Amino acid sequence: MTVRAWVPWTKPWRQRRDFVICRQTLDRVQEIVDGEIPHGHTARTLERHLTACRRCGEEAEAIRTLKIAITRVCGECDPEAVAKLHQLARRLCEGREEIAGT
Amino acid sequence: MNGALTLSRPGILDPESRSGRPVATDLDTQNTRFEELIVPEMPFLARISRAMSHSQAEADDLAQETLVKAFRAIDRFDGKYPRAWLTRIARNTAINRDQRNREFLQTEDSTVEPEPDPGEVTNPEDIVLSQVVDENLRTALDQLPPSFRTLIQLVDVEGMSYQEAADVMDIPIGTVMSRLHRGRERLRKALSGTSLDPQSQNR
Repeated sequence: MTVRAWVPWTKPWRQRRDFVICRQTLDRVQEIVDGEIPHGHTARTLERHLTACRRCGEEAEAIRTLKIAITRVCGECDPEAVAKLHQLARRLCEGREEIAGT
Repeated sequence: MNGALTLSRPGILDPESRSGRPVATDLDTQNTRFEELIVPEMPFLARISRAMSHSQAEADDLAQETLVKAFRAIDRFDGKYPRAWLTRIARNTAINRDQRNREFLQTEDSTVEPEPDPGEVTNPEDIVLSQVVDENLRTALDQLPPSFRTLIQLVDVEGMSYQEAADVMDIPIGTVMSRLHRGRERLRKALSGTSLDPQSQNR
């Protein structure tokens, strides 16, 4: 007797389910890494798969590493630019005070 | 009544005053609001302006114009989410700036050469390898279209959610996701073979 893929908890059913979860995870790996999947059953399933599946895990790791590097590169800003902005802010506030004084 | 005056510069002139004399307390309140809400966000403004621009000089102009606009409009600001508010002003300013060539709205590659930035601050603790990777990443980021780079900045560096980024950039959330994905793909392609690409060994 052949076991159909859609009979729950049989081996073909589990294989098919794992395949579907793998594809869903790979599709949404960016959302998982960015923490965009709301806590719940889906998030738990996908995260569990990330630790079990090499390909999905590597993909997630690559995005994580990239995010960390981007934060390192873009998290800093030109201190000179910030100083200029502070000067401008001060001038603006003083200018308004002058208006108030007249 | 000086209704027209009040409308054109709301909050600056007291609507009750016929001589058009501004009310000091009102201005003081607005100065305080500006100093409390906007001034602490100067580094943030500098960062997003850089992400929306092709060069540091362009970024400086954008940040300053944004700051002046924010100052003028501070009385219309509800006080919630200063970063989102500033980003929206900066985005509109960038769109106006780029209206000539419409580069900011364009999602495809811009052909503008990235400007070499000699004033980079490198952390002495960083190992040499990571400096090389960072340099490559910086170059790759500079070559991204500003609309991609801005989203990467907002989500990865500033920690905004997709929905927040979609709101401040006035684009659908699906566009946020696809631009993030494509932007990151390009960065990874540019960095493939380096230590930043864990899959490089398998390819």
